[in-house]
Amino acid sequence: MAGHQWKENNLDKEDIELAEKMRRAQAGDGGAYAALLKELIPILKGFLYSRLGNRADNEDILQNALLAIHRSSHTYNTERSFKAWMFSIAEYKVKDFLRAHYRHAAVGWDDFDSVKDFIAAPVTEERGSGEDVQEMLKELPEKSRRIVYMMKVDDFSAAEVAEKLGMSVSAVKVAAHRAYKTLLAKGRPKRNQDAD
Amino acid sequence: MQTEELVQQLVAQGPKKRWLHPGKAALGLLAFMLVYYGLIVGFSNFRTDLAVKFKEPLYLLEVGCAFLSGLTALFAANWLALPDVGQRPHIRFLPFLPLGALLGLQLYMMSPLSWDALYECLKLELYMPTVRIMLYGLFPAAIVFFVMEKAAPIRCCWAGSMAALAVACFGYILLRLTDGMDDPMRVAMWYFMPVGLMAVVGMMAGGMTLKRVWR
Repeated sequence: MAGHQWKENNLDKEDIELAEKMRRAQAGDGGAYAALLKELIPILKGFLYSRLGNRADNEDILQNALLAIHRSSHTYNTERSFKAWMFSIAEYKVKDFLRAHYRHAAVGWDDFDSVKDFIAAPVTEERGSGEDVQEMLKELPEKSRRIVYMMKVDDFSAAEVAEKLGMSVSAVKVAAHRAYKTLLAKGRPKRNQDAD
Repeated sequence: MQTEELVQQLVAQGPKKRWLHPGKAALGLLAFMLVYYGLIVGFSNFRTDLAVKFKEPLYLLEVGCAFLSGLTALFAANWLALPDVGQRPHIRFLPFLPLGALLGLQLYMMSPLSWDALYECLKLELYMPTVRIMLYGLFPAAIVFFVMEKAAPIRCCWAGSMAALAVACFGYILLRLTDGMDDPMRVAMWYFMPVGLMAVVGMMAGGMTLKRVWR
């Protein structure tokens, strides 16, 4: 640490160690960067748990936070607290997630799990709801259709779909949400007819 | 993808080299804006009575406050381009001090305020100073936004607002150095208010454009 002005007021030992690893990483030490990222995983998991509780999405959000920290690694100045920098980014990603989550909750996100059953239903001679959904899916743009199949039939997570299709995770989620909205809107008049 | 796989990919890419200190970035942008607006002044020519105006303390104070507002807004914009601006929370409020002083000075010079005079001033519809501040400010604003995008702003609206405020303040100084209009009410309405308007436009632009690093 010689030659660096550590402002040790209000910085704990862990903060100083993380800052030192980041300083070495910025200087080109790949080993220090690997050690830093691995050390951040449990810290971020604890942070996400305290903010969001135990959710199935926490792994996705953790990966988003790590990606964001990586992409903004050039903005960290080793004279400032590393944890404050890191938690600012993690908090931003949590807020991003919550914004998207509450938008989706307004259209009954959980209701779309039933789409999986419709999509997987076998095709029969008698016109059934499975065939109706298959027809509705054909009307979706190809990319949206692929995303729906991958997420609801093949059970890939949004991050996995994003990797396979070369898209960002948020773009996949937005596309999936729009596709579900379209399917729900198309399915509603048909259900009302059947009920009559 | 598992988190460990992601970490391996990120390690393979390696961290980015450290970005400029926000103070240095602000100084660089200040130098650019001084050259840019200096060139415009060179083409427009100074007002003929500038030597006389420089002997007026209120005029000097006005230009000085505008310069300080622009300078502090530029610093604030570059600090706001960092994700952990919370470590320097007071910086985003700094430009409001000289800006408040400038506003106070405008009000003082306009006093006593008359609603009739205000109405008459509005009727003049002197939009050209507003248009000039905005048009002259487009290029430097684009440069400042480009520099800020390279960082990682979280408070994008604030950052955009400060960037536009900085550019508008220098545009204000340009007009005060080249235009002969000295009526306090006209200066307040057609030079100073566009500065506020540009800050609002900058806020909207910042909210739309400064989030690229997070996508």
